[in-house]
Amino acid sequence: MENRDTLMRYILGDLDQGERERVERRYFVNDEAWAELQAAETDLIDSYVRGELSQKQREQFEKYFLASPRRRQRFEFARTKMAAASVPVEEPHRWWKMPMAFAGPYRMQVAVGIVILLAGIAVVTLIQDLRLRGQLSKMQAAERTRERQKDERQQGIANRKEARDLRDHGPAELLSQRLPTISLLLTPGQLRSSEGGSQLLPICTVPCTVLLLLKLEEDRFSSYEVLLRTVEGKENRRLAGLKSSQLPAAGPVVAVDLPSKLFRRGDYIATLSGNTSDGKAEVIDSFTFTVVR
Amino acid sequence: MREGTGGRRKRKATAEEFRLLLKRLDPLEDRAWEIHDALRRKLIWFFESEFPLQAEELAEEALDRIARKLNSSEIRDVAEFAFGVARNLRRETSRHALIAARLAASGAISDSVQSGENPEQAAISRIDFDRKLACLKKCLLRLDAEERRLLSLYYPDDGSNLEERREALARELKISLGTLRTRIARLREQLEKCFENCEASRPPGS
Repeated sequence: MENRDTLMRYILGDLDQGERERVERRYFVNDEAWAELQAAETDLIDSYVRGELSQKQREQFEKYFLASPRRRQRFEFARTKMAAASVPVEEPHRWWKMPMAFAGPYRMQVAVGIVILLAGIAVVTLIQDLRLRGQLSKMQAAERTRERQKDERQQGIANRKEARDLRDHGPAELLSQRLPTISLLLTPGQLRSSEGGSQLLPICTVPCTVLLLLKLEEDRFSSYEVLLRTVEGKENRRLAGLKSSQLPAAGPVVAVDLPSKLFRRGDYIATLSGNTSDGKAEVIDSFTFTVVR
Repeated sequence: MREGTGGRRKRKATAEEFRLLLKRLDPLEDRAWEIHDALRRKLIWFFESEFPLQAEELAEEALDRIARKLNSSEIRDVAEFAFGVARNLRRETSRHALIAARLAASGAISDSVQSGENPEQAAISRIDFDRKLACLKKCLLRLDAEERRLLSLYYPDDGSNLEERREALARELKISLGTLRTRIARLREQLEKCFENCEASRPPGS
């Protein structure tokens, strides 16, 4: 296990070349070392936000660590989290804490004692039942979380696969591939309408590729991102690292290819952003279209 | 000025070379993509210390070089080889960046965290913070109550005796501190991703 102090110094750029390369080689070849490094970065950010770093470390953090857009984003999250008021925790309703008024004359003590005993047995049984339900609900929640995390990981991988495909093949080649492809050239801001002028995407009845071509007024970014949502706001897909292409008739476009199974009948919005040189995303335009069957 | 790797980017790996790389990482395609994803993140980490704005581009170039070399060379350990490729690329890029840095030094703009703000800037910062806060709350509400409770106990408002409190929390949950840290790391990663997506998807001015 790498010394935590060494990892902190590595992250702040405070190691000599030999030590630095030793740490780097380790996290390349060892997954545990990689996990340690990521945890050390999280701890460093939290320590900075809490004001626990030394003067020298603070300066290194501000000058060196925050130069990276990725790290700045993590820092923004940690800073917001620190400054936010705690989200109230929803306590389950603990009915057994409510005061129970027992009042009765002295001669009723035996009867009251029996009632208390019976109530106690009922309470114990109920507690056990609630505990089991609680455990079951925790297991179900953990399972849902695992599924959600798996879906998000797979979505991230799927996005990179698609970006890779577009980079390797380009929209023209994708159009000529064996899998049927439906393409739609979208212009920004066009209103959805059922009478002419609407941007309609007929969905195929067999598996096919949908190729959305988002027309650019001006190609001024080195890469682009697209967020695809339904008009109700439900996010379908987010793709990053996209490059522009030139189509003979249409000019510069950003091409997004997606599996047809992603779409249901209804209205969609594709929001196009460009990535600036300092890593920020600048929203350029929105494109609306309607999927029809 | 658009940053790049000195304009000397070599030929990109072909689709076939890339497929071979995936196969070398793992015979199962899904697992291979996961390993590729982790390798890409390691490469970004590797480069961002010295080239924070070019890290992703350099990582892609390193992956291309690895894929191209795998086709022509006998390589036993892809991870070890990847480190070697990354190190060489960093050295090359440093040499080119040295000259560019000298020229650019006089025009460098520092992005100081603690800048002296005028009232207008303070107002913009406030709006920006409110927007971030709204995103954070929205993302927290996507977690269930138990997960939020766990996070609030792991990251208390009062940051004193953190290590001891976390150890006590692990004991209360009857898990090891390492397991607790792993769970928290996953939740945090989820939250950060949601936060990033929320920030990126908001139209300017909202």
